[in-house]
Order: sequence, then structure tokens, then C-alpha cells
Amino acid sequence: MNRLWWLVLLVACTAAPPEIPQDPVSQPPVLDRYEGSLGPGPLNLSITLFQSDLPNPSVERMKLVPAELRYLSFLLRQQLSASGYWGAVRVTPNDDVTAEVVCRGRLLDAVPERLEILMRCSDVSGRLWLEEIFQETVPLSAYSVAASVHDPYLDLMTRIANRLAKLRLDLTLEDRQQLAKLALLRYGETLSPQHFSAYLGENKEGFKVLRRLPAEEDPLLQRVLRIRATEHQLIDALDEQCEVIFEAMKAPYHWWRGYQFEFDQYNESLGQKQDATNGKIARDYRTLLATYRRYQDYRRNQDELAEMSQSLAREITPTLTQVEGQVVELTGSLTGQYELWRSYLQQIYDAEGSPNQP
Amino acid sequence: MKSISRFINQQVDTRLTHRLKALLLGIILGVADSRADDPAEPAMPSLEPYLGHWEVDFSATESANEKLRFLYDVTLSEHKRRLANSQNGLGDTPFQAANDLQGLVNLGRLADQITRTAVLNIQLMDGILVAARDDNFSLRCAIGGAQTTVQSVGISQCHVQAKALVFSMAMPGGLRIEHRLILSKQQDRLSIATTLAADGVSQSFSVSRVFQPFEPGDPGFACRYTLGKGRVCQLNGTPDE
Repeated sequence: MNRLWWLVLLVACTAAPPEIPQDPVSQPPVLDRYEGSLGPGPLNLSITLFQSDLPNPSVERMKLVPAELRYLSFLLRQQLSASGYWGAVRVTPNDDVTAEVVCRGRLLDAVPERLEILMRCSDVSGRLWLEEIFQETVPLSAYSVAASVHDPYLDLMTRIANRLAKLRLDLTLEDRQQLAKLALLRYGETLSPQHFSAYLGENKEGFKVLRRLPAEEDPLLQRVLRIRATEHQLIDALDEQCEVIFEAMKAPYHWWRGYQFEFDQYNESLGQKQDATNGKIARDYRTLLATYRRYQDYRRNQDELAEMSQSLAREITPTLTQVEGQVVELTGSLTGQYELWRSYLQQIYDAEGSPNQP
Repeated sequence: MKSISRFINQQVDTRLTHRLKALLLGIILGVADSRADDPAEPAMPSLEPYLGHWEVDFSATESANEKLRFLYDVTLSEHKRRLANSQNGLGDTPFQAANDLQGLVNLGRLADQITRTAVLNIQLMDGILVAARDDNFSLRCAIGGAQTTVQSVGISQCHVQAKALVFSMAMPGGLRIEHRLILSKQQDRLSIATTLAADGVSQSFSVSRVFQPFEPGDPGFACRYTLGKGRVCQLNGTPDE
């Protein structure tokens, strides 16, 4: 009987082998979508254009980096918007002074098979939400024709969006409303520090807090609200223009990275089988021509990206916008237009005069 | 060997006439300038004379087909000599010779394909010399910066050798292409000598095209790239900077 027990135990153990835990990273993440209504206090999130910390990029590559940074910033924006957890999600050339949450990304590595971004997100109080390196490695098949609909690094952006969604869910309605008020007054402070800084203070941890609130009918607050609304319109207008370049970049950037990846692998395999392949390529004209054509396609995509990159730095379409009933035209680069706009706002605010005390 | 000869004859376009004069001028342009300088002391030539619009000067440009025919004959003779020697255990086998000639023909065909540029626009943009070709990707050279780029896609390199700007590319499988840009002494002609080489082929294949400067006429329209609308062209507009 005792032996039978042992036998049953042994069969039970062998019949159900322990399950190997699946690596969670290997599973494509599913974008966490907010199904309900955001209700009062939706938080606006702005992504400051990613910065580059690429190790030793070539001079040629440096010409493409601005376009790549813009593209990747927009890819993240796309996922954050689609998640539905946020109010407006925008990409801005500098830190957005109107947003409740600002995310900055630093590109640590960007080769076709690997992307590494250091993300740092904080809210208007200065509280750090997230400081984490996100990394993703993709196979060559991610650049196939069938896969060209989705960016190979969409999953990485999904993981960032999901992390932020979780952090956003930790906030109570009161927290969100506090952040919204803080963002408004902090914005007012940038226009009129002497008036609005009295409403703001710092707690012992060094985070910005509300000391008190202005009256709702405070004319200066009303003006700040109007000016902020026009600033939002401008950011939306610039954002819309940049989205056009994001769409235009999708195909050439995809193929450029794909070809680069293919050549990487090909070169590697050639290194392993050098003796076997040497001297063969020139014997077959079709192989020879195909090798050249691939390289040619790669370089043409590089040309196209370089042209886009130069265009981004040079000038974007002049933006016509309205502020306080006046039509203003902004010209120059994206950053230039934004800075010009901020100076207009300051001038308008100063021209109307403001009391020194709240 | 006869079958290879027939193959070559099919490949080479017999309609083209001899342009020996052109060939000689191309060689003179290339060789004379390169001999005048000491290759041991490479110095960055003044890039100013390279800049601008260049169009092909057909009267001074080599034909890839004729060059191939000439080189084929030379290589064939060489192989015949070697094959004769092989009866004594020296030289190579007929199989090796056939492969070599086939490789040479293929390089010549590819050279014909990739040297059809008719118009060049050479500009200096943010420290990078960009030679935009009307039918192909731009040749780029970072001035004073990293000279070797895009390592992952084989090697793309540019350097100065005896006052020539040399763009070299190495592709997977051992295909190597070099474009050598040389200005004539009067700076009124620009020669681009393109050389193709591949592992397993005894001869490299070179062809020279000569360009002359020209002022592009007003096309009647101007284009610029904008973020909002992409490439926008206007009739009688101001040319894009």
C-alpha cells in the first residue's frame, strides 16, 4: 500500500510538470484603454520633444536624429492619446508650461533592432512620476511588408503608456483637481509672477502646493484663462503640422531602418561564411544588381529623411492664430514659432497692466 | 570559351560608335591631375570649385559598353595565355577563367546601370558635401568630421586622395564601388571615375564621366518642403533657398 502511494505521487508529479513562467516582456503588451468617461479633472499631458543621448553618432546620422526624435515623440503621443486616460496629449518643443503632466524622453540607443529610451515624467507640483529606462529588441520580421502598418517600437510606447495609465489611476479626483488648479496658477505665474506667486508655495518635500485660490471672478485669472486657451490653440495648430510630418515619415523611416537591419544581419552572416560566399556575387548578375538596388534604396530613404530633417530645422508653414482679438502670424522653425508666441503673450499681458498684489 | 564570347557580344551594344577621343580625354583628366600631386600628402582641396550645377559632357565621357569590350578582350587574352601555361601545370583552369570573365561582364553591366547620371548639384550643407545626382542617391561627405559612416550597411567612406574627393562603398558579398571626383586644372570640367570591383573577379571595372558647369535656367516654378503641405510648388515663385 505504501508503495502504491509513492507510485501515485510519482505519476502525479511527472504528469504535471512545473510550468515554465513566460517572460512578460516577450508577450506583446496590450494597450490599457480607459473605457469610462474621464469626468472632471482630466489631466493634460505634454511630451517635450525627445532629446538624443546616442553614443557616438556619425555626422550623417546626426542629420537624421532631429527627425527621428520628433517621430518617436509622436509615436508615444499616439499611444497615450489612444489610451484615453488623458485630456489633451501634445508634443511641444520645450516643456509645456500649461500641462499638468510633462514627460521627457532621452534616446539612449536607437538602432533598427533595439530602442532604448530614458523616460522621465513629472507633474506640475514637481513630483516625479516615473524615471525608467524602456528598452525593446525586435526581430527583422518587424520590418517586413506585412508589418509595415505598425511601427516596430509601438509595443515599447504601449508599455510607457500603460505605466503612466497605472500612475494616473492612483490619483483621486481631488488629486487631479488640485493638479489642474496648480497648473493654471503656475501658468499665471509665468505671465505675472508678482501676482500669482502669492498663491503658490512649497511643502517640506520641495513640491509646489496651493496656498490659497484666487476668486473665480478675479479679472486677472479670467485673462490668464483666456490666454491659456489661445496658447492651447497654438499648441494644437503646431501639433497638427507636426503630425503631417510624422505621417510622411512613417514609410521612409520604416524602410530605412528595415534595410539597415537587413544589411546588419547579412554582413554578420557573411562574416561567418566568408569563404563560401567570396567570389560568388559577381557571377550572377541578378544577385549583383539586387545587392546594389538594396543599398540604393537604403541611401535614397536616407536622403529623404535628411531632407525632412533639414525642413524641420529650417522652417514650418507660418501659423496664423488669434490672441485677444488680434491675428498674429508666426514664422520660422517650430521652436522659433513657439518662443515668438510666448513673447507675444507676455507683451499682451504686460500691455494691459497688472496689479502688484492679488 | 566561345560561348562566353557570344554572351559578351550579346551584352555589348554594337550600335555605339568608338569614342576613343573621349576615352583619352577622360584618362588625361583623371591621370594628369592625380600625377601632379603627391598622394602621400593628402590635403583637403578647396571645395568651392566643386560646388554648383554640373551636366554631363557627352563628348568627353566614356561609354561603359566600349570600355567593357576593351577590357574583356584584354582579360580574355590574359586568360588564353594562362590557359596555355596551365598545360604545364601553371596558370588557371578554363572554369576559373569563365567565372572571371562572367564576373567582369557583370561588373560592366552594373557600371553601365549606375553611371547614367546626367546632372549633378553639389552643395555644402552644414559641413557636409552633398553631391545630389539626378538618377541616384546623393553622395555625402562630412568635411572635417567622421569620414567613415553607416558602418552597419557595409562601409560608406569618403576621403581625399591627391586632390580627388573619393567616395567608397563596400556592400555585402564583396561588391565595392568607388566614385573619384577630380577637377580639371582650369576647374571647368569635373571627372567622375567610377570603379567597381568584386571578390573573385581579377579585374576591377572603371568608367569615367566628365561634367561641365551650367547655370540652371528658371524652370518657371519653385518648390519648397513644408510641414503643413509637404512639397509645394508654385509657378513663377521664388526659388527655395
